[in-house]
Formats: sequence, structure tokens, C-alpha cells
Amino acid sequence: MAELNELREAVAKVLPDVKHVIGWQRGYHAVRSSPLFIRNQEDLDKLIWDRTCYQNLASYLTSTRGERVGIIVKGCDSRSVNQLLQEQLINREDVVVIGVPCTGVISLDKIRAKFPINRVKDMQVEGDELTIATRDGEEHKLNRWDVAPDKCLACKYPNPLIFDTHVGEPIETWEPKQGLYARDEEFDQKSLDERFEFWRREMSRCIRCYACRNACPMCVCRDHCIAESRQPHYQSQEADVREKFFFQLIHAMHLAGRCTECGECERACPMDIPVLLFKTRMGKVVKDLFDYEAGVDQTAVPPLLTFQAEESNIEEKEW
Amino acid sequence: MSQARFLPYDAVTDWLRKIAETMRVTAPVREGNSVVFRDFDPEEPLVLGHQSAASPKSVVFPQLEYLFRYKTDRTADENGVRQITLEPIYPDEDVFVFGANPCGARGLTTLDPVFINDEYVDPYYKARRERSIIASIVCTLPGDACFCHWVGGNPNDPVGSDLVLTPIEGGYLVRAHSEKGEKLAAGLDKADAREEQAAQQVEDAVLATLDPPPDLTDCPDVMENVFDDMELWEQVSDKCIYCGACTYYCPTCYCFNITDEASGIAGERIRSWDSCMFPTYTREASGHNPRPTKAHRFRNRILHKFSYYPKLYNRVFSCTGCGRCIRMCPTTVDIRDAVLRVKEAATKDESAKEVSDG
Ligand code: SF4
Ligand code: SF4
Ligand code: SF4
Ligand code: SF4
Repeated sequence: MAELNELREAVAKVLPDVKHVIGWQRGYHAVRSSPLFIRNQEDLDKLIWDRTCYQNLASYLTSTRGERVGIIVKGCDSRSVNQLLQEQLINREDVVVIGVPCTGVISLDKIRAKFPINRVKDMQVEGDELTIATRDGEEHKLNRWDVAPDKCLACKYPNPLIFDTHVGEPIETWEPKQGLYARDEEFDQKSLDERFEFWRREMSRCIRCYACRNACPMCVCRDHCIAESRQPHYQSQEADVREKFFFQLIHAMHLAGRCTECGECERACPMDIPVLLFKTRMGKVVKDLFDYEAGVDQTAVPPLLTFQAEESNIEEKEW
Repeated sequence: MSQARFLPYDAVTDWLRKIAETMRVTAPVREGNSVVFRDFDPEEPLVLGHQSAASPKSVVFPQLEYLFRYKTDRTADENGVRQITLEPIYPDEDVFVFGANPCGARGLTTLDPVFINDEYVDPYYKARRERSIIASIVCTLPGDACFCHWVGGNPNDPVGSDLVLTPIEGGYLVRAHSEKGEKLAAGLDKADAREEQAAQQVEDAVLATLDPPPDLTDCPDVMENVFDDMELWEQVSDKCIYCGACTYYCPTCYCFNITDEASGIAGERIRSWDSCMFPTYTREASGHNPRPTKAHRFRNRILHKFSYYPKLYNRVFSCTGCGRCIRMCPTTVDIRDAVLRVKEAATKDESAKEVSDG
């Protein structure tokens, strides 16, 4: 991983030309990070760069539109920046992209599945091994691949695909530990009833807080979302599984061919609902039909934003 | 105080099973990686002593509440007026909440003066409140995001609980703090002096682990000094993505929306949670919004909890320090930081004013 010092220098260089640079700082314990809006040297001192920098900061770009800002991106995050540019949701001259190659982050949800990560004293990292010490005097040794988010297991783009400043040397892409759609394929093995039952149970926990929606870098109608619109009255305010499921399906459909599979929606969900499954399913369909991956090529036009009378992979007629 | 009781750990299920014969019992279980309140099922293991994801607020203030059904006549009378029939829907069940945290239980008492006061009584809320019994468990594991003792609570705070259970060897020491609680616990064996002493030790030991809290008592008096300092509010809210998770999980947030969910000539009027973090929160019919940005809305959340509310209601904060808003926030916005930063800026302003006045 690139050195923190180099990253700090790169940010310091950009700082005079922008309103702020968005990076990460330590959260309220050693395994939690939190975004950092760097405006001055004092902020810059708080910048961190390690495996806890899991959040995709590109989610902030659309709400700072019109102001020139800097942003630090990992390889995966850079896809979101690309996709935002492709859709002209941000202007290239408004963002200064500081790219850092990334060897993978950790998932709080996956750690939480092993022990309640609520009383942390500190975390030590040595190679692939993480040691998390709790205030209760326990030590949890974890292999980072066991607690890596699925997107890291399937990572194809550890190096930033777009940047103005590159920090550190590009790293060698590792052999993905599993395909991005592994979970999707596993889910597919279940019967229709089982799948429906699965979602009924998962969605019953959803409290319609919309963290999944607001965390998504590509979900840009936030302030005018169909979920809250009264006129037209697309969705009721009822809190039953039907409405929640309906919302997720709308989100997934709106993200088809746009979703950069960053996993923010699932990471953000406070109820640990695997909502990325909806999107990877759409991603797979788009990949199969249009051979398109969102946010990889800055000059490409996303398939659902264009039209071709005859799609080469869709057999419309029977002859 | 009334006689303490003892509930052995291995008798919990049977005790709840018996109570469940006469009322709805809800208790925390694990689903995915989340601890959630669900209707008691003797087959499902309870997860006690951990904070639940959502607070038990929804027992008295559900996320979705049907206020009434309505139906419009198909035909108008001779004056062109159509008849509307309304059918109110009132809460009609008793609920026993077993295994809340003290911070969650205390939250209910901050909702009370809002829904039940001299000028107005909300019949829906009142009915649910009267028909619910809360048993909380002394918190022996305050987490990194917890700060109940900053805002008037503590890990064995009985405020809002009808019963408080302290985990000791072999079971819980059960203390009643209301008549409702007293009645429910009456069937349990009486605790002996040794058990009472053990409980006291557990409670003292947790208190001893807490760091000394900062003094927040002047927050209601000073924080509004910086009401207009938008730069400050922008900075404390910069990382917020205004999703509303903080308010939905909060045991003291009570903002709601009222909508008619119609299908054809009939429908329901429902009350559902709203959140000051949403862009539509104060958007007026004209399109004007007095709180146009997330900084304005974030200001509302902080000042409401630490200034407006305590000024209205006995200087009690509408925050129980449960830390849910910090833990659940996808971007780890820390309300403790926000309050301290705002307070600091506000008192700086205050001393600046004094200097210039002098
Ligand atoms: S839908 Fe989820 S995975 Fe896709 S871009 Fe949005 S947050 Fe990322
Ligand atoms: S973040 Fe989770 S709980 Fe919130 S609306 Fe999305 S799926 Fe539901
Ligand atoms: S949960 Fe966090 S990001 Fe969401 S509205 Fe609350 S403070 Fe903002
Ligand atoms: S504001 Fe946060 S800490 Fe306070 S009661 Fe609400 S959720 Fe808990």
C-alpha cells in the first residue's frame, strides 16, 4: 500500500485549489473509519490510509456539484467517478482525483458476524493478519481475507482507473478469490419459493431508513425520490415487506448498467440486509447482454442510456 | 422500594411463555448480524444483555400506524355532497417488552410529554403507552459509542422501565419500578440479601468503568448562539449523507408524517415515521423549504435534542446517549463530537459577546 506520508503530500498540493479534499479519518474506535473533509493542515493531520478506509467517497461528489473538490479514490471507487462522468452527473474540471492503489479493505459486517465489535481497544495489522484487542481483554486474530467485503474477493481493479495524481506504485492485480457474482450464483440454486422466503425475512428487518439509497454514489435523485413522492403517488408510506421490496427493486432497476458494484448500499445498511444481491443480479444481466461493466471506460455510453435498433446479444425475433 | 425478586436464567423462557398467554411478548433475537425485537417464540434463543439494533420505541410509536379507515359514498346527495364514513383504528393489545436496554426504555419517557400534555393528548400513543410494560436489563457492556451518563442516564437507570433486571450468578435480580411491573413480577421468588448485594456489586462495577462525562448542562442556554453560523453547521454535517438512519434508530426521535393511502374511494389515513434529515421534511406546498440543505437539517437535529426540547420539557435532553445514531450511521457521524463542537463554538461566542459588551 502507498505510504500515508506520500498521500498527505499529494493532498497538501491539491488543497490550495479546492474547497476541500475528501479522505478518511479514524472513527470512534480502531476498526471504524469515517470520511474526512480536509480544509487545512489540522484536518490533514487526521488523514489515515489503511484497511479500514472502506467507504466509497464518490457518493459525496454529486452533492458538492458546482464546487471544485478533491477526492481520494481506491481502484473500485474510481469506477464510480468514471460512471458519474459518463453520465455527466459531475464535471471533470470540478474534481481533482487522487488515486491510490488498494490491496483490499475489511468489512465491519463480516467482523461483526464473528464477534460483537463494540468495545475495541486497538487493532494491529501484520501482513494478512489482523489482531483486534477488545476492552474486555480479548484478542481476536483474523485473516483479512475472511473479513474482506465480497467486492475485494472479486476485485479486478485495485488500481485507480482515473486520477489526476497517483500516489504510490501501481500494484499487481491479484487473482480474484471468487467471482463477483459468486453469491448470486449460489442464490440462484435455491427454488423460487426459497428465494422469496429469504427476501421476505430479510426485508422484514428493513426500516426504510434509506441508508442504502443515500450511500449509493449513483443514486442521484435523493431529494426527489419516488419513495417519498406524493404526486405522483408511486409508493405508499406503509412499512410492510411489499413496499420495502418494491423500493429495492426500483433501486436495482434504476441502477442496471449504472451500478459500479461498490457495495456501499449493503455496507451502509444498519440492518445487515444483503441488498447488493439485487444489484449484482442486474450487473450480471447487463454484462451478459451488453458486455458492459459500469464505470470502467470513461468514454463508453452506458447501455441503458443509449439505443440500438438491434442489440447484438438480444434475440428479439425468432428467425 | 418493593421487595426484589429473583428470576433464574433457566426459568426465563417459562416465565415469558406464561406471560405470553395473556399478552403479546416481544424480546430480542438475532437475525442476520442484527439483534431485533420479535414476538416471543420459546424455540428461538433470546439475545439478552446486548443493545438491539432498533430501540423498543416502536412499541409505543410504531413506524406505521393506521389512524382510521375511510370510505366515500359513490353517489352524492342532492347538494352534491358525498358522505364519508370514518372508522378509527385503536391499539387493542397489551405488550410486554422484555430485555430492553435502560437507554431504550428511558427514551420512552422523552416521548411522553410530546404526545401527552396539558393541551393535547394523542389517543393512539396514550393507549399504547398504557398498555405496554417494559423490562430492561442493566447494561454491563457499555459500547464505544455509548454515552448515557453524559445525558442524565446510566447503565442501571430505571427511568422508563417497569422492571429492571440485574444479571447476577444464576439469574436476574428483578426490581419493580411501577405497579404494572410489581404485578408482573409478583409470581417470582423473593430475592435474598445476598442476591441483592450481588446485584449492587454488578451495578457499581459498571458505573466504575465509565469515564467522567463532560458538562453539558448549559447546552440549552448557549447552543442557539450559533444558530446562524452556517459555516459551523456545514462543517459538523459535512460527512452526513442525510439518510435518516440516525433518527429511525433513535429511541427519542418522534417526528411523523400523516398521509392518506387511498385505493379508489376508500383508504386509510396512516401515521409513519418522518425524519428531520430528509429533504422533504419541511418542504412546504409552495415548494419553499426553510431547511433547504443538510446543514440546516442537521442543525435542527442537534438543537432539537440539546436545546429546544430541554427548554420545553424540564431541561431533560431528548437523547439518552444510546449511541445508536453513531453506530448505525453509514458514515460514522458522531453526535458527541457535534454537540461538543457546537457547544464550544457557542460558548466562545458567548465570551466574545461578554468582552465586547464590557
Ligand atoms: S447500488 Fe450499491 S453497489 Fe451499486 S453503485 Fe449503488 S451503492 Fe454501489
Ligand atoms: S439501509 Fe437497510 S434498513 Fe435502511 S432502507 Fe435500506 S435496506 Fe432498509
Ligand atoms: S445516519 Fe448518519 S448519514 Fe444518515 S442522516 Fe444520520 S447522521 Fe446523516
Ligand atoms: S440521539 Fe443518538 S445517542 Fe441520542 S438517543 Fe438518539 S440515537 Fe441514541
